[in-house]
Amino acid sequence: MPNGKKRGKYGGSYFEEIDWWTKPSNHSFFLELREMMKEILLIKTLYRHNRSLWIFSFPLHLGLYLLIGFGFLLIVGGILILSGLSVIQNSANILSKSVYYLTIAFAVSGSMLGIIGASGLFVRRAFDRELRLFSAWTDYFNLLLLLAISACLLAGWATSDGSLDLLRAYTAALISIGQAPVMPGILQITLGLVSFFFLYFPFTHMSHFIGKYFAFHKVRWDDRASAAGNKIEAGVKEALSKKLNWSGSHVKAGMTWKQATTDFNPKAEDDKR
Amino acid sequence: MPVFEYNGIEIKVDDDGFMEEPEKWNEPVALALASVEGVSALTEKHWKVIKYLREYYLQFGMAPMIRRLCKETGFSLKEIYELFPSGPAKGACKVAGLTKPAGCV
Amino acid sequence: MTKDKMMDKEKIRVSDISGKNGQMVELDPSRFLPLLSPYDTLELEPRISPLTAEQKIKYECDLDGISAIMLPRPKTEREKRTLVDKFLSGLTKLFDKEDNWTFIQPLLLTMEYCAKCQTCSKACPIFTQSGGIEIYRPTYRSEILRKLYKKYIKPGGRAISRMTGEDIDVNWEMIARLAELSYRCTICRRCAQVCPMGVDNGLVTHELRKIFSQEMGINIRQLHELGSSQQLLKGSSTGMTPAAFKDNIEFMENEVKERTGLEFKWPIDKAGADILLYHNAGEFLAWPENPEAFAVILDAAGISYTLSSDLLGYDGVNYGVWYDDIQMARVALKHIEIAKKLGVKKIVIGECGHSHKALAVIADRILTGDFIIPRESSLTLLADIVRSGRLNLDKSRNEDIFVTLHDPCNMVRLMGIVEPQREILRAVAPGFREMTPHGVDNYCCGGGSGFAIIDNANFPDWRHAVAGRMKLRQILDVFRDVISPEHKKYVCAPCSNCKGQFREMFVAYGIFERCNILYGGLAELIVNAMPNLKKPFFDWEWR
Repeated sequence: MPNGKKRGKYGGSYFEEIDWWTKPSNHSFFLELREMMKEILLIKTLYRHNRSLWIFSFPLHLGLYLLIGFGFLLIVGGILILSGLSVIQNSANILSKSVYYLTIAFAVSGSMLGIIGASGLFVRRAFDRELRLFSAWTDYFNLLLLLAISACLLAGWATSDGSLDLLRAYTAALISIGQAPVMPGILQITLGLVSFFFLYFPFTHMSHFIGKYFAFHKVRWDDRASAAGNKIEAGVKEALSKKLNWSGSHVKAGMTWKQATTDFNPKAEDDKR
Repeated sequence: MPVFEYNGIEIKVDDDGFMEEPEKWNEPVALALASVEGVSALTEKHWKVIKYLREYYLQFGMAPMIRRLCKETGFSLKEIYELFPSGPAKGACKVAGLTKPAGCV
Repeated sequence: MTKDKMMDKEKIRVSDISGKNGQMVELDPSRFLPLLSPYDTLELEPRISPLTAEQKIKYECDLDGISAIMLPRPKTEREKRTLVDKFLSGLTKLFDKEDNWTFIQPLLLTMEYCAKCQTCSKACPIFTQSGGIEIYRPTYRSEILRKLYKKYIKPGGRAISRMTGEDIDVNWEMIARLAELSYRCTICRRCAQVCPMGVDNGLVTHELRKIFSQEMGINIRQLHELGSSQQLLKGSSTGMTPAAFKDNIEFMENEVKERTGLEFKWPIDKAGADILLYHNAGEFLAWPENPEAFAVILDAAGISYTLSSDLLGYDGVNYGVWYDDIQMARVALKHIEIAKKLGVKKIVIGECGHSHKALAVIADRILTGDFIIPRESSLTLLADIVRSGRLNLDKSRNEDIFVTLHDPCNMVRLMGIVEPQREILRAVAPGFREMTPHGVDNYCCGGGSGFAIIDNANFPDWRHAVAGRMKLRQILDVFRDVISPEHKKYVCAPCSNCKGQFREMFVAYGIFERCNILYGGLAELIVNAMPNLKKPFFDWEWR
């Protein structure tokens, strides 16, 4: 459990307190959330233990977050257009103006960081013997996909959609299920890749953010103890009533866990042998 | 199960040379096992240690505390290593026909 | 690095585990990372003895020429096929949430979310100190299980694994090597601590061992028959019966009287005491000064406690945490039952790391109702006593000893008990200095997960030269400036298992003779600083 200032610094826990079960619980949702944010935004564990990989992983993740933000801003921009406002450089409306500039900022910085991060990681995986030994073709493909999306978006912005109006109009059309504008080739490719990405990523390692949530919150940090009447105890009760199925001779298959452990009589077993 | 042979005596031992059937121990067996320890002759000092170990084992079914062995035979741990180069557990207990000591000892 | 050394490193792939060409790896100590002075050349290092020709024929050793398990080679093809089938049925149960409700959640997370970033490999002392031998890499072992999982457990596995190039050949050779490989990791969990995904490679080792023990009945004699089973039958994994225990107690009471003048009767089976104290029974046999020290401290501090002479009541160990959930549960429940019977307010666990892990952490998920008795670490209790000033300590009594602290993995990294033992050392040892790294980043003694008591074949040689290498390096490093024998040096290791490993490793390297470094627990250092003793509480001699 992420602890406060003193204990958190060296990794201490409530076991350092005398009679810890009589003291108030150290469970702090705020501290958990703060650690979680550090992991998500700064990729903290990698920073501490594998700096040379973090140098590329961090920009990749930051780039992705910015691109997600960019997507969200496109939607906002689309909604603004549909409600009659125009999202342009020198709009009188503060909201429109902000959305205009922010959309470009997020798109450009996101895709640049994405390019740096994805290509850096790809090169590391391809040339570092340790990483190469354990990388499957999907690991390379995923990075190339992210690289392609970032690069195409950046190229599309630079060559054909400097104001991002086209993409915004496209988004507006998606929302209103209306007529989409004609998109230049490079943006068609970008959109195609993004669509593919949404269909594909749930089946890949890229959905690790779900697993990481459980691994950190439910496994690594959850140090709550069982106590009479609480949820953990109830879970234990249920588990102990399960039947044993393992074939090892010392395991009494067929008995429940409770029977095979609490009521186990080693002397009787030994006499049988 | 390996069989250890010495001077016409056959003893069943485990992979570390400890007796599998401690009840078959006797003085010639002790001499045979001592040869593995690199001890060619058993002096009175050796026998003092062996006797103590044997008696304790017959009473309690295991080897005694090392500290106790030292105190009740009057030898320091260093001296025991001199008598039995592999030490009290792996050397002396083996020669005294005990089974191999177990656990975090 | 010469060309063929480089080629060697390139050669080993995960799929090689199934090869039928005999031994995979030939250990070459010249490639282990060098130690420090005076052990900076290979000459002073002990040899890793090869197995005898007889042993090689009889036992499986085709992983690296070391045999931890002494697993007999099957004689017929039919035997091999039966074993393979058993392994696969065990594998299925490992991933069944009914059969493996104990650890399935973190296991599945570990199978699914590894990013193959190798951050864990950099953290693993066995892998790094061996010079980077591929089979000791944490992800090497986990990848094998992962491939098995993807092929046999996940739906459509067989087809998909062939498509993605992640296929694995399951034959007896693979299984035999994997069994040995599961005993090349001490489950110190440094890997789990640094993993950015929350994956746990130490857990993989534990789970693999379960397939072998719980399904196939393959386990190590010192852990099972002469370990947990013996403990359940005779009362202690050491074979010590209640009668022998009580006899030893009497002897130790006299010892204490001689050393300190204190006349006391050890409280045994005192119903209604506040605390039930569990020592590792090995302490009574090999390091009696430690439980004796506890008795002196608790007596001086006026603490109400008791020991127990019931079967298992005087032996807090629980070997099941290393290889078998059922054995673990059996022992833990007996431990709790005894506490319940005595009606104590809490259980305090002595200086034994795995005891802490079993009783304080893992047991939490098998206790219900009035079996939920609070468990506390002796380190916390001792720190509280020291802090209270009841002992009137005089740390100058320890000033001629340079002391360093070994952090036992299961108390420190696993449970987060970091400061109490340091608070104590600062109060009793002026010569206290920290190793680098320390605290939750500590390195394992090399004896964890049962290694310290496995002395089959040539396994101990491997344990000293490879598993304990990093720790030895740390010890030589922290005492670098005072390494010569005229300075007394003490590695404070508040854990019986670690002490066992230090004892064996120090003997193998001749550490005490050459450098005058002794190892020992924490409690005896405290008593050494108590004012009324006429002579030191423990003798500066090899133990």
